[in-house]
Amino acid sequence: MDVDAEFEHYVADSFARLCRTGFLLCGDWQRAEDAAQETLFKMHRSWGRIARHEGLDAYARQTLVRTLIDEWRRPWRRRENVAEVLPEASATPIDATSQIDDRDQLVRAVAQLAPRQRACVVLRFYLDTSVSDTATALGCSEGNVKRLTSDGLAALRAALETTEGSLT
Amino acid sequence: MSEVGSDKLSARLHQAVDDHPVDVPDLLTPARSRRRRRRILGGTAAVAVVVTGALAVSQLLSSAPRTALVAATPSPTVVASSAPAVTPSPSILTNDTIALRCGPQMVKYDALPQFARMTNPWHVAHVAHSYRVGDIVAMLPANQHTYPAYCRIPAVGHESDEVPFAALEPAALTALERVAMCSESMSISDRSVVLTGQAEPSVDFTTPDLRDAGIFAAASAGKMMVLLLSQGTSSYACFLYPQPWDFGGVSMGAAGDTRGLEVGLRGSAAGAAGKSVVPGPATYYSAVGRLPANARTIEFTISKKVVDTVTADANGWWVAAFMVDGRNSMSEPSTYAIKDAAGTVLKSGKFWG
Repeated sequence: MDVDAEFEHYVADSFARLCRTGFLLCGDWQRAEDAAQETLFKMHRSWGRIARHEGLDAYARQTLVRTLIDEWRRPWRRRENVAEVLPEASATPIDATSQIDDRDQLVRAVAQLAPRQRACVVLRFYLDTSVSDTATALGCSEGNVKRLTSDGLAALRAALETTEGSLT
Repeated sequence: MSEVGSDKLSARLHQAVDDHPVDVPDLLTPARSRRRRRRILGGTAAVAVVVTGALAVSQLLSSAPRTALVAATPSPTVVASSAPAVTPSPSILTNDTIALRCGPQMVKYDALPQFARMTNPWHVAHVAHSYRVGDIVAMLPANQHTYPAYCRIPAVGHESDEVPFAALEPAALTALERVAMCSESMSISDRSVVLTGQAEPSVDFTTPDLRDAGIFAAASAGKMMVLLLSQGTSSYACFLYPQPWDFGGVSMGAAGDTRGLEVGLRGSAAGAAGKSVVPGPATYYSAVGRLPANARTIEFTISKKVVDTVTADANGWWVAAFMVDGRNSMSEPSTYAIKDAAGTVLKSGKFWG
């Protein structure tokens, strides 16, 4: 398999996972897809060197997390077009946040965590990444990962217990 | 957390996202293209430079100028010239003269991490524009062509007079200077990487001279200011921030006639030591748009609390600026509601969260 084919194969295999991980990290599908794409672009730059490395997924995780951490410091824009004339709607104000299902509640609770706590929770419990690999992805010590994970879980419990009881 | 709890959380995280459909794009072609460009441009387009741009992320603005707010087609009307602008008028300075006089003012940018790795000499960005003493002019360093720094052109003998960043903050500028700053910041990237939202490390400064544009709407929050400008039949949106903020500076773009809204967010959980120069935790929201003909106001909420309500002008244009101080609120649920003159909600939705 040539280099391009290997890259395309890896994109096909990893893109959805990176997007979903990214969504849990940032709470927005557009940003998650952007970050997943940026991650794979970065990997493509050194693909010839890393393609056959057994730590390829770990490299992707690390790049995704760091891309999003960078992204948290960058500006963000969202655009929406509306019609020339809007149809009359119900006189009752629409609460856009009222239609939240259980999944939204979890995602929202995760989004409320501090960024590095969130990254620890997502990597440890969504990607099932070890403490050591999580520390590598975040560029911090294993002790930090344990503390951030513990704090993140506590915050997550607090956020969720009022609506649905403890996670445990 | 117990193992049972861990398993439950893991399962719920998978339930929350794993059935979301994701289309796998063709990344090979753009990835090759990016790699080619990197080779051409060399490694000098530092990440810090990208961070400098007030709109590094604008994936929704495919063919628009780099900083356009409302979708628009690039429409440069000034032809680029590789030669410095030279005119018979003695009061108009050559670009070489400007570069020489502005040199000392550019030194202060060395201290900003987002301007790291830039090299002298600086040169005028908009080579076809004309400048006089006292004008604000966008300058580019020799090794990159993306985000400009700004100089207030000194008179002879005053080249070493200090012009601190504070003197270029939106609130410290006159209305004419704000418009000039907006005009000077404008650039076009017709090679923008839409796919990732990353700004290209090369942009085109052959944009119209908008220094005589008029301000027809403005809003501010903290040290941020948002302006809507018009020149002839064209409208422009401009965002002004203090230069040292790592997401700061100025951004400017053409605003089309499309009815819609665009909300910009710039959040900072904290100033990262050695990297960020944002003064502290805060989230800044800037928004502009053009409401439908039968709409009158747009209301913004963050965590269900109304933070701003703005009224559109007779043509539907509106501009908003608000901030949440003390925290990064970007992950909090944020909504907008478009209302008619009677207060009836015509449309609502999330703009974040």
